[in-house]
Amino acid sequence: MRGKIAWQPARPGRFTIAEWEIEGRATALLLLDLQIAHVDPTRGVGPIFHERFPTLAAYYYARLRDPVLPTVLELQSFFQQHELPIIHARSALALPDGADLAAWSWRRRQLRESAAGIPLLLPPGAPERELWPALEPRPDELVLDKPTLSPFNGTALDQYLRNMGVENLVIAGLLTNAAVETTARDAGDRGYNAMVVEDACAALSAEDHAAGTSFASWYVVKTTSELIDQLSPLVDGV
Amino acid sequence: MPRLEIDTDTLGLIVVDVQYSCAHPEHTPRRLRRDESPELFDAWARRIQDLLIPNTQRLLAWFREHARPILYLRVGSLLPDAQDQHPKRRLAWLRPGPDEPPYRSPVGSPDHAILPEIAPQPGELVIDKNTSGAFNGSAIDFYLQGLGLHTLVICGVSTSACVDNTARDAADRGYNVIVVEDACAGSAGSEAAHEATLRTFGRYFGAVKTTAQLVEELSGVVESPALAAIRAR
Repeated sequence: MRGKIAWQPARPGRFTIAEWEIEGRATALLLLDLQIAHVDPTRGVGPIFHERFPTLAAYYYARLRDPVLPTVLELQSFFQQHELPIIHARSALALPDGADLAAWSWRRRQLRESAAGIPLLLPPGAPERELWPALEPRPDELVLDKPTLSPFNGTALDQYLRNMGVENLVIAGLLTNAAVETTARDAGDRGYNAMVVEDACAALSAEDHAAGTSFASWYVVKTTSELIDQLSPLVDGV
Repeated sequence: MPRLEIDTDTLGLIVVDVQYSCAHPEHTPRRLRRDESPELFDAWARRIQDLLIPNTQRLLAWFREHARPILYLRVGSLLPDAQDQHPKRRLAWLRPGPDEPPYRSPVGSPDHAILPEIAPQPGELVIDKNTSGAFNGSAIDFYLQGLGLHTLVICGVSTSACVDNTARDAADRGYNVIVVEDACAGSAGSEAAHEATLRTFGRYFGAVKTTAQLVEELSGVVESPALAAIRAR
């Protein structure tokens, strides 16, 4: 049903959108890059992070354990219970050598150069590119492969959302100031009511996480409990 | 992390939103909030005047001299009543305070114009967008492909909004992007947002350079046959 939810926090003397009316049933959850390579400390980037960047690894995997991964499952369960759409977008190349990336892009060169290095751009067949197993997407959850950070840049997400009647996009996952922030900027700029769930996102440092959540441009930042409290009255009644 | 090699054959300059609405201290609606913090506002105005404009002029001069394409972006609604914009933008964009009416500077209005100090010359492309990021609200990707541009130098205002969105999306779509930090400006008092954009951009998306660094690197690039041919025309 339609109703107002809290939107921007008040700023004295400034024009702010304190509340915004949405259609609760037109809300989807978009989870970004929650893949084995990025979540399992013993696989993907895990061993390299632990060996080369131990401080970073300690911060990142601790944050995933608490609060991010449990919170992601709480969000997914809320959207499943209310039969609202869930979309998983994962980093994945379409071709083994990265030929689906722009020929001139630094990312393609990095892929060539780092064949034995950090496996950032996951080619077909790499087991680490599969979603974090605890997510167990149901058949009606959309799984998109993206060669980009933002699925608006590398998939037809915009068209899918319009066809599905989605107006409000709840965004969470990895990394706060990279894929999450870029996607939230694109979603908000394109007119979706974009909400980043702060405690369901992680970056590689507390400073990076703050960079991704402190300067929101046409999107807002909420905690999981705020989001669920605010959406609950608007999502019942299929 | 990104290491960019500058390919002058595919190099283009994008000047983002340096218009009266966003970058002129006596026209931007943000001037109505000057009293909140005159020092921060005046520091912002000085940054535009003393840093952004001269550095943008240096970049423009290099690109014109070397016959490389220049694209200007302008932000604002396409329709006078802003019905082409998304509802929150229509309501809140640059709106200075709760008691002020929504701000409009549609295409064709005086505030929509680019500052004369860095104005486009005939033959330079001007792209109007009704969004922050050019890839979200204009056909820029199509124009860049048509022009054969893969390496983009980006400058303008505001660092953490229109510059950030445009530069991120360009890099995410596969362009090699260089953001010129001292030819960008945030909004008054937004130093932390400006810094966060530069740090995140340099970490995940592309290169961040000063005007002097970029011009020096460009002058060290051996002239390619394609560029020599263009210059010989």
